[in-house]
Amino acid sequence: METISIDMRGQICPSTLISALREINVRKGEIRSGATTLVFMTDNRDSTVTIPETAEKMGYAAKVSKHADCYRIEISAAKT
Amino acid sequence: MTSIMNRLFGEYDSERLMEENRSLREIQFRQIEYIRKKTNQLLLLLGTLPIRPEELDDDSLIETDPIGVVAEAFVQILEHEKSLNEQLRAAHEEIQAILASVGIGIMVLNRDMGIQIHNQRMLEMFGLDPADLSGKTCCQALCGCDSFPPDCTFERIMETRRPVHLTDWVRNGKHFEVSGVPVKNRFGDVTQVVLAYTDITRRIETEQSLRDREQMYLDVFENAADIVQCVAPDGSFLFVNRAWREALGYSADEIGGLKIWNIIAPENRAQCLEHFNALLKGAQLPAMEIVFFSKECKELMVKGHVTCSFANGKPMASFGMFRTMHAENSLPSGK
Repeated sequence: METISIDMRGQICPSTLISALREINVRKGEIRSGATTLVFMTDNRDSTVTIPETAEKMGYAAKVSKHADCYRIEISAAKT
Repeated sequence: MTSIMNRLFGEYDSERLMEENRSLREIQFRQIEYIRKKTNQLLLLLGTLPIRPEELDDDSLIETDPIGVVAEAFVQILEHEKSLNEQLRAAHEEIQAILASVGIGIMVLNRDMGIQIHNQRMLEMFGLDPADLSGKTCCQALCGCDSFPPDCTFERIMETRRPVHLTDWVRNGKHFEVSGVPVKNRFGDVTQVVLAYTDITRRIETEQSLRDREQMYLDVFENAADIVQCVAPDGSFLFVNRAWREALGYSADEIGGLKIWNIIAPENRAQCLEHFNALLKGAQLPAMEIVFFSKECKELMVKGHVTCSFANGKPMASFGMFRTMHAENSLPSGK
């Protein structure tokens, strides 16, 4: 399984959300099949709510974790 | 700038080009405003803030195509919703099948006591028509009143926010066991109540019939001329009749503190204990002669049968019925 990291530090919501959605849209097939996991790194706290919520509504699994210099938002295939 | 253009294109063409340029800028401005407006509407639906111009300038806005990005996200959201709806429909059908197959009446009430769902068994149990439940509260449909009746399961659940179990709820001469469970939202508020009714009328009638029959047998034994006793495996008396009490001189209040070996003559105790243990192990004993020992230290020779009842392989009680064989003999004091 491939993990693709996208650094969005410095961007704020809703730009982060649009950027994240664009990446998810481009790789939707790979993510849904479980071949790819997207990891967004952001320092914008609002994004830790908007991106996972929207991704979950789209049918993906989303996980947020806090790290020293950023938040990591992991988007992967939803468990069935 | 104007003079250069005049020299290059002539005065007339220059004015025309400037006019066209102004017009094109206005069109582009309106298009960009439209894109921002529609993008912000879509972002609002996703629960986020509008895009500020300093975040995304006009050139980046067109290049990013936010409407296209968000629209594609909405396509996936709708596809996911469709899939969820199919799963919910399947789950709903499963629940309907479960509701239809169980032998108990089930009803789901909203927080205002309105009946939301009920199964067929519910209608059969209470002799109701589906129209009787439509748009009605539980107390209107079942209890025939507009306010909470006494002992209302729904009211107790709403008060305590805990499951409630009634072992015998009587309605129109029928007996029901009622189990009620609250359904709570993520804030812990009760949003629905599930009530399950089991018709236990037949069981209650059977139990009453058994109690009546037990009382009848007790009356027969109580008034029998023979001595009757029922002894638990630990040797305590579960029942003795009037003839027993009169023959051995104990009052009814004293029976609770007695054990079987208290009424056996000392020289007979070892043999009787042996018989008693054999009975508890399932042995069938022939008629036996025993010497009982009264409260007044008098010997009483009796003859009779003793049997033992079992439940799940375990001895429950021995039952003895005896007849006095001859006159009592007073024992020397101190024996």
